Amino acid sequence: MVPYTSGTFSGTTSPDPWVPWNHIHFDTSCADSDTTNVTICAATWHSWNDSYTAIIRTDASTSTTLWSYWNNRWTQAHPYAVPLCETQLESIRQAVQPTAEQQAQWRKIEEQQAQRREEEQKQLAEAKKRADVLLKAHLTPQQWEELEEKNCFHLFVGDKKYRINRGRSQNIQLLNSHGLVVKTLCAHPSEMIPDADTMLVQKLMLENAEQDFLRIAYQS
Amino acid sequence: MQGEISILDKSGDTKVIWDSTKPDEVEVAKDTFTKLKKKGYLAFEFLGKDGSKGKQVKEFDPDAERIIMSPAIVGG
Repeated sequence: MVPYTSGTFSGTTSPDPWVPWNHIHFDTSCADSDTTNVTICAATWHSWNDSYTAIIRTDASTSTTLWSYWNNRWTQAHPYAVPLCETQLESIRQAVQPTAEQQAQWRKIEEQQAQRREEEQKQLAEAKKRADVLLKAHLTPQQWEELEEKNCFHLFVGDKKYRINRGRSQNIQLLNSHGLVVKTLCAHPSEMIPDADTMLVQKLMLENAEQDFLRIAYQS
Repeated sequence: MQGEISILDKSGDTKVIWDSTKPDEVEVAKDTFTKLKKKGYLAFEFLGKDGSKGKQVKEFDPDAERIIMSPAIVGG
């Protein structure tokens, strides 16, 4: 957001805040369409002054009074949403400046969060490893080799050929005799488990309860 | 003879192992199986390895070598 007031703002009569504000809120009723000169355009100022005073302050009849009132009112009501002059910003900075104790506490929290993230990553890697071991134990050597090479393996259920790709959802394909995809199927365990575990369940369901699986699966 | 249930979860799997000659261990395994089935888990029992298709089961078999239990599947 463009600041209404600049760093050199020094009082209610300062032209500095008025310049950027005017550039932003240039009144189309102003005859002077050159926005570089609009700071002196009386029409814009009067238009804004009239409408604002009519709504907010009936007694703010002069531009100086109104400007002061507007600036105070809005910076109080929206200390973070409304751009402030530098002196106001500085006072807010000082007010919210964390103490050394707070900073130390925040650093500690950040360290704990980083440690937790690292631990989660380790657990995920370990889970993936365990799931791969379990899946490998339930695939033929050919299927496992295929999975390592192509990230997928195939299985026959009756005369149907399925491909299970590495993943959790939308990862099963029914193939025709030419190896082309006829359908994509999507069904997986309701809880988040490693992909290799998911693929194992998908394989077991297709082999042992194909009709149940097809009934549940989203097919596209 | 030793049996093993692998319960699939976010850690990969959690194992429950029992010795079919020890009734208290069998009881623990059966109890686990039953509780998970009530939650809708799927159970597959295996005898061999290397691509064994196994079979879907609804009751606990104390003589099973390996059982895999998975949360119910849902459509994607």
